[in-house]
Amino acid sequence: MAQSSADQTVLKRSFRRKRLRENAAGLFFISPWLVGFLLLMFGPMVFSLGISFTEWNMVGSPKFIGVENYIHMFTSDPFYFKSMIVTFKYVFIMVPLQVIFAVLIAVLLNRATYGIKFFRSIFYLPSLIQGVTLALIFSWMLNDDFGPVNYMLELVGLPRIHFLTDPKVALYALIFIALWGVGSPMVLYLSALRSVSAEYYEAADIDGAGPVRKFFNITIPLITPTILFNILTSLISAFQTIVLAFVLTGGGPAQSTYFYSLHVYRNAFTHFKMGYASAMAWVMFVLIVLLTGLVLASSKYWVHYEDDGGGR
Amino acid sequence: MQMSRSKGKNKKWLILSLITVMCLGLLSACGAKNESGDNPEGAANGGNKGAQGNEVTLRFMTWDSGQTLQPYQNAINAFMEKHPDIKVKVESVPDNYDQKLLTSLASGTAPDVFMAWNYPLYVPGGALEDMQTWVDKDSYDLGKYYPILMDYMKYDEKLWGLPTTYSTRAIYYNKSLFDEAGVPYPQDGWKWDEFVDTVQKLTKPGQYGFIMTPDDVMTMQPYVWSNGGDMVSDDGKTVEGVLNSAENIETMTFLKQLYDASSKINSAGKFSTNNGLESFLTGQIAMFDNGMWPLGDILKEGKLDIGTVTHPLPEGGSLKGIIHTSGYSMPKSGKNKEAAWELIKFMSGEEGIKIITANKFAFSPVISVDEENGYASDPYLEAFAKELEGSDKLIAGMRNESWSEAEDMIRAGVQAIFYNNADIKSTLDDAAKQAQAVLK
Repeated sequence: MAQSSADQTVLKRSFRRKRLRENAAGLFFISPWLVGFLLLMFGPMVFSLGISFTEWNMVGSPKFIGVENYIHMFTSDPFYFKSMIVTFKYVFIMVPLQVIFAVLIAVLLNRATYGIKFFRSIFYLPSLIQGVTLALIFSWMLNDDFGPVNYMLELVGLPRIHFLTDPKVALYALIFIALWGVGSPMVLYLSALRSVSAEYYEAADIDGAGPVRKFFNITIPLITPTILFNILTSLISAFQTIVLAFVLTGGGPAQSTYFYSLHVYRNAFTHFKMGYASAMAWVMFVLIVLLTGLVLASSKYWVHYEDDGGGR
Repeated sequence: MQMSRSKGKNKKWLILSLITVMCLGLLSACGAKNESGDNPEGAANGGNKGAQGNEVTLRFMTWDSGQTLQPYQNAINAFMEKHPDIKVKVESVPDNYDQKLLTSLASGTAPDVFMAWNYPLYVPGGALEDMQTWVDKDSYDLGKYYPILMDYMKYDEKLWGLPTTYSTRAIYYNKSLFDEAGVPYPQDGWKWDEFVDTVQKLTKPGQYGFIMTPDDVMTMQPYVWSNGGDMVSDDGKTVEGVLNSAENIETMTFLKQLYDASSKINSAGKFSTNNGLESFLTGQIAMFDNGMWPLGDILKEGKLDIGTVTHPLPEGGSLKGIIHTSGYSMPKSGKNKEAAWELIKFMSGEEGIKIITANKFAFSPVISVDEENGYASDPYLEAFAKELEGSDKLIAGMRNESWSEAEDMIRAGVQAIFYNNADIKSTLDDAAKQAQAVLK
């Protein structure tokens, strides 16, 4: 008894030490990021939190106004909720679509018996083009008058679509363009699919499961960790999306693509209301943290980790 | 066994720490590079002063670049020849100019002389040098400038700069497209109805008579003014009752007609004042509204047969052009203010302005030079000159520091009117209320 309890403390201690060492290794690995964060970002973040309680136009000294910026946001800024709605629409359409397309392409590629490397590159290549370059390419592709897309629509007898200049269409055009980057999550899914053991499918075959059943009961559950990762990263970046709208539409037409981030940018660098812009940025930060937490909390109901069979 | 394992572990740690050190090295290397990049500049500035006793290096910041910078560069070169002890280093910042300027003003690293137009934005921070003291000290004659341009150099009843150049806006038209459609060329003093009619006649698939966008609120001001209206009161404080006046409802009705008659292009919200230049150059637009800047290039290329005409007028209205201008200013914290003042005097005075405005680059704010240049009788520039004659209003943006925000409210209203056929009166009422809340 005494012997075993002593054993246990030794075990516990060594376990704790091992744990510590593992943590230290982890921290060590991310230390470049940590150091960069502390040196380059932490200061400005604290600064912007402070500034968010002031009125400041970059010249002169900030004037403390308490939570007035936060009140203005929710009560008297006519564009605040407008831009919030546009952003939510974008996120809740773009993120699911991206997950669905990435999974579908990965599954199809995974079934390919030959040429997989070739097709994998083909589907991945577009996602190497990002940001302003992507926006400029599509500004020509979708151009009302000269764009190849409209030209082809006309060839097959369809009316031209004012992709970027029709208030009803522009947001969806931006979502479509953003899906161009579907190649990066696709590669992740592909490697996740690769690690799904063939035994499961063999067992399912013996039980007489069809392909649809196999897809939903084996494939999807086993790649849920990757889906979770994909949803989290896209969610965070989609809420902050700015480049496409900034380059292609400037928030228009009729503010149909006036994202939250554009509203922040405009207040900061057109109206030079740094305090208000900082306040808005912080609200968005809190919102993203909450939503990320929500997704993480929900993950125990739908994400399956192979090692322990259930959620964590 | 035990030995080898701990050895392996040591190795792992060694590699780990190596990687970390390397990454850290990268970071610090970047930092060091930046610092050393900044240093020679400072050293050179200080060194120059020290070594040659009284040689000064001025930093001059402008948003012009490439071709549009050249005229200013020419004048600067002439200035340096005249003042061998003053060197001028030009810093061209074509993008995010205000941002750069404000940051440098805030951090005390502003250039010695800079171009500026948005005085309501820069002045309240208290970082700009009051130009009146220098004018008084030198008894510099301000009477040689057009009075209306001097109004653009002032905010809060103080003088903050001396004018650079100016341009009004007029309507460019493509003569061959008019000939094709059998429509007579527009004449100065034409009416709003004629304009709408002309636009209609010149609009066909693949071609627009004119591009009227709801996004560019600023350039709607000539129409608003010539109908006796305004967007905000003269003191920049009242929008309600001004923006939604009976006159402005008429003006907005006309602008909406114009939008319906032509492109219906929702120019995707890029609030640019150059809207349509490319399309005009490729013959897709028959008429377009702009300053005199593209004129030189269009004429030099000689591909387009163009004419220019003043803005159309409402019945009984008079021409009130809009002015684009800017000033040379200096920061309060400047270290070489004397030399900076010399540069400003030269650039804005007869000598410099003559060099800058050569070859029809721009109009001169100095009346005598403008007359000498004779651009008012140039067939292409006549319309622009006429626009200045009746111009007696400051653009709304010069009257209140929060105007850009108020303009967003108005823009949203105009968009609702243009795109969604919203009721003009009630929309302007709402926009006025919202804009008023911003201006406080």
